[in-house]
Amino acid sequence: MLDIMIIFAKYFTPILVLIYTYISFMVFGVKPKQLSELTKSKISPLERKKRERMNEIVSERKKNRMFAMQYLIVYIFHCLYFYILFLRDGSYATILLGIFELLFLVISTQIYNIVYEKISRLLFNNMIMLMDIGFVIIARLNYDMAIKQFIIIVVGTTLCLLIPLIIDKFNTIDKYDKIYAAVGLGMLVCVLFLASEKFGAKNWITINNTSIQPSEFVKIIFVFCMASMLTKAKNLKELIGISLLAAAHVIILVVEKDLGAALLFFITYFVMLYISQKNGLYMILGSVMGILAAFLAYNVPQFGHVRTRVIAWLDPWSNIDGAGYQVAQSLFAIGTGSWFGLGLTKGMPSKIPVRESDFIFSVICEEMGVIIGIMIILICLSNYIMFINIAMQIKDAFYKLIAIGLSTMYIFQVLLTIGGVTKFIPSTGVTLPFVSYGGSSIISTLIIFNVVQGLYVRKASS
Amino acid sequence: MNNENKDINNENKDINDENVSINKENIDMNNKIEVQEINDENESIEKEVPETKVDDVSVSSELDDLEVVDVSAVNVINEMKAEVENADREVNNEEVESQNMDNDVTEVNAEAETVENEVNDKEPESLNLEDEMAEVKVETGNAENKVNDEEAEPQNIENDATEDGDESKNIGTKEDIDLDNIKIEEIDLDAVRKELEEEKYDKQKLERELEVLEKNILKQSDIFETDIILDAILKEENLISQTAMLNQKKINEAADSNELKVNNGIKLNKKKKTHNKAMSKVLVAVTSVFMALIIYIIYFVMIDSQSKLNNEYNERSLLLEETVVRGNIYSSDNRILAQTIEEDGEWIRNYPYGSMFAHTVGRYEKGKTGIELGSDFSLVTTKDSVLDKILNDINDEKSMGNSIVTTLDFDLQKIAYDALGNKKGAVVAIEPKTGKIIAMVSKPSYDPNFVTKNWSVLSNTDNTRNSLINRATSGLYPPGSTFKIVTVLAYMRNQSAGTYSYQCKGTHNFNGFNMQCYDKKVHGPLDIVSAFANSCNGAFGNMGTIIGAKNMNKIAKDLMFNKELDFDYGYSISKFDLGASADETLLAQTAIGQGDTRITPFQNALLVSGIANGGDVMKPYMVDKLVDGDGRAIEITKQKKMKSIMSNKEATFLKELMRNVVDNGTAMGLKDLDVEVAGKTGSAEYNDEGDSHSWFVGFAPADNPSIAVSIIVENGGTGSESAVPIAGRMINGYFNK
Repeated sequence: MLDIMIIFAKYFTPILVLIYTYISFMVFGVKPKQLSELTKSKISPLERKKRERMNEIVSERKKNRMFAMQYLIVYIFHCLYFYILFLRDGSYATILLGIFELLFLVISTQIYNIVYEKISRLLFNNMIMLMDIGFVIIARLNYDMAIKQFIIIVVGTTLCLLIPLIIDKFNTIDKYDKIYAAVGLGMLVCVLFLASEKFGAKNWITINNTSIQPSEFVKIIFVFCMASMLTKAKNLKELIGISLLAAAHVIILVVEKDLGAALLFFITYFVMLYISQKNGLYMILGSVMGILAAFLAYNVPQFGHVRTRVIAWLDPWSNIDGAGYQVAQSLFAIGTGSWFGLGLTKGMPSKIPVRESDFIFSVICEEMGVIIGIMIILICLSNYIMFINIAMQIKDAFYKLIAIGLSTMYIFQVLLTIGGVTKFIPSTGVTLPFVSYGGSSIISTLIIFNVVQGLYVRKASS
Repeated sequence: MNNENKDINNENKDINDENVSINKENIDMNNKIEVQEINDENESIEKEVPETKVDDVSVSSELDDLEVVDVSAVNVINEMKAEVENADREVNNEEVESQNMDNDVTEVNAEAETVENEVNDKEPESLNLEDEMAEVKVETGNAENKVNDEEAEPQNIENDATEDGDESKNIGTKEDIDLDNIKIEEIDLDAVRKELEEEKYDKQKLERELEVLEKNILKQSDIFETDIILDAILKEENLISQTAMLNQKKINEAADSNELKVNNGIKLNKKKKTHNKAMSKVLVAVTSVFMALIIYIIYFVMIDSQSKLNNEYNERSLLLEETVVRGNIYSSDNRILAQTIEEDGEWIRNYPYGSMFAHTVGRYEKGKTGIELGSDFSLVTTKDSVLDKILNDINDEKSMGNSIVTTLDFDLQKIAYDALGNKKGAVVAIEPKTGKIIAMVSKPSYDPNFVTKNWSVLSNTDNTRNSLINRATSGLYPPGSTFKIVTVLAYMRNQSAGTYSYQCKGTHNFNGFNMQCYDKKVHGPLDIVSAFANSCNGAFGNMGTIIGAKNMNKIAKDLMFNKELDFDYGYSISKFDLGASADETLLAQTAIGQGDTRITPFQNALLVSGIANGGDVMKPYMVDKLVDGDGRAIEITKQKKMKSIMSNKEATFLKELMRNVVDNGTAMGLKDLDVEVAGKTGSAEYNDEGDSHSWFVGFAPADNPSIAVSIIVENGGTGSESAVPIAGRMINGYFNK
């Protein structure tokens, strides 16, 4: 029975997720039917207004049906896989976790819709889809981690419920630029001194047996800081000052060997700079500096770990028991999984290092298949498109920059993690938002999503 | 009576006239109000026009429009509400399809076009102009509605922009036209009278129709939709009144901040426009990168992974073996070299011919090697469809994995294996025209059926037998006199080989180093052919000094020394390294195949294959084809050229030299075979006591070779002592099938 279910799930879930992703993109195209010119000329303006309102309502209802379909897909996905997990180890603990997680999905959806009528349903749905894939895979890998992940998500989601409200009502957020800078840099510096080295990077702090990664939170503070400063900058001198401040963040991160975060901050800053000043030169400048920095990093002996990673990226096969081990095992997993995967619980994820966090994508591809892997990429992309869409609608420069900054942080993190795991780019040790195990990552991504939701609500009510 | 009627008629006429004139007055009055208001609006709109011409949806800009709104407009709105209701009913009357919303009072339309149409059409709705005023004045209310739509995803900014752009344009044009029309408008009294009468009649008709429509609506299943619409409309009503009050506020503040707002508005709109452009560019860039990532992943899974997955560090084939029986490995004549059989309820890997194919077919336990490793995943892939797999799952059966048919010739392998006997050494046999490896033996060998049992002995590094190593591909030996092939080729390329002459005196001095020909034999006067046939050390040492280090290095590179080969299994890279400052001694020694040079028997076989094949070395391979569980071919290996190491002319000349070795030289033991053999012997000294490995490389038949061999017997003495007899047995056996 177990094997039949696994084989069934192997072929069925990619179809489910395919439909889900298709809907995610289709929603962008749902617009109210426009009246033809002929009709417009024949009827009175009042009638026309009425008809247009009708069309709008029809399209809203169509969207609601699409979103409802997405919920259904997430629920089926969740129940199917947890049933399989239950069949495998027969313990009620698994079923209990599955039920609680399902309850969480249902209740949080209701609560968010009640408290905030105007949130973006697309973003919310994508969030729970990604979370649920994470739930399933982590439960398959490690029950204790699954529980921790679940608790963090519940607590995080509940707390972050307040964020859209804050964004909506709190009008002076843009005034605290210096505080943001101080707190952000302060946290990074703290890490520098207090940190314990983990996985080759000094960016974790351990308190009471839980480790947190402050750089995840500084990401958000950094974006706020840069947004508030860039909107106020009036001349080149101020811009240079801001750039130096950003550079300080990046340099501290490089010193801590958290290259992934350093890269994220770097890219985000330049994108924000480019958009706030609308001058393409900044992007060119950024690219040049980036290449220079990469070149330096490769050749300067202090950054031996950089060189190791680049070599491991170029040819992991000749270094398979050394630097190339992680990437090689990841590629073995993805390649063996092929399109439909080996089936949940049928793979060999224990061979993949760091499998619950950075390399979770490999585990997903190995057991659920590359089709679902590609769908995850597309879902993250649709989140990004949605973010940008929201950013485009915002008039206030500060909030616009916040949206841009956070969306850039998010999407580049996705790119870095999936790219690194598939040997598309050298690996940089970042997690896949919402899917990977990791409290700090989850909470910071929750904050990002809720801030953007908040901006959406704010824009809707202004 | 008639008079009375006449009087009544006249009275009616008068009343009608009065009515008409009253109506006319009304219209005039309304026109005047309208004109006044339009003029006012005009002035302020002209201020706003530059702003609204910018294509942007800007609620703020629309709010700015509100500054224009005349106070009277607000009053007009309130008055008009009731009248608009009437107009509304009349509007409904003209449309049959419309879902009737009698209470839809507050739906207002900012579209100037329709206003234009109304005016031009001279429709009898006399209150329509006032409607338009109300509608224009509350344009912002409309905008508010758009923004407040529930769960509406933000619409594409361009749509909104162009819409508002149109609106703003229309506001401009509307003003012009309205003014014109107001001046020109004539009122057709008769028509107006008629229509007023019709209105009364229509109203009744309308009310009846309303009832019918309402019934229909309730019949429709989408009752909820109606409710929603009603709710929405009520909301819009509220919004309009709210906006009206907001208007009032704004008007009060207008004077102070008007100019500032206009300026900011322009600035904001400009900024926003280019902000969005920049953002779209970033969006496009990011999307492209992600598309590239997805394509890369697809490419990897489809194409690249096949080669990468067959790796000893990838243990996942074990997983696949839970549902698939590992396929067989066959010789070229379909003997089973490896199979999976059930023994005592367990599936084990079995090698019917034991140690004979240990290094080619490989082993399964303690780390896969050979073909077992190279085709690892192919052997556990099944052609069974998904349904078959599911059925097997239910019945607790396994699918049959695909099998490999090798290029190995069983009979030839057996001959070589037996011929090596108890000696250590290696044999490689290749088909020069195709690259097929038809035999490969390494001794000492081991039985892959008992790897686990014997592991402690086998893996002991102190064990000098080193049975696990494939000496054919990985054993590095000094080439000895077989290297003279390389030397003579180098001489041919850099000097004139035809005119070479040397006087051999048995011993030769190269810069203080005494080099002797084998057995101190004195060869006398030699040309290149006889020097090669007799393997004269002096001559070749001499040649080496003439050729020089640089040229030697170049030729070694051409002959694939120090380079990776296009071979899918494990091997060692042959070494050649002559420093530019090498002295005569080293040059001479290297030229006769001693010194620091190291070659594998496999590489040597490739070299002579190249000579045999007119200068082209074909890519060597062991897997001929992949077949499914029923024996049908799935994939046949394609032959391809690996490298061209010399020209056809050079190959032909070398062939002649090598033929002469068998006819008149050191390999005369092969002269009496049924086919003509060409080759070169070698005695590679490996210590100071003069012990040597016995080498033979060659091919047959000399004029059209179908087999090339490379044989080494460790510590076998001279080439003709040990290696040549083995070659003889192999060639005999191969051509006497």
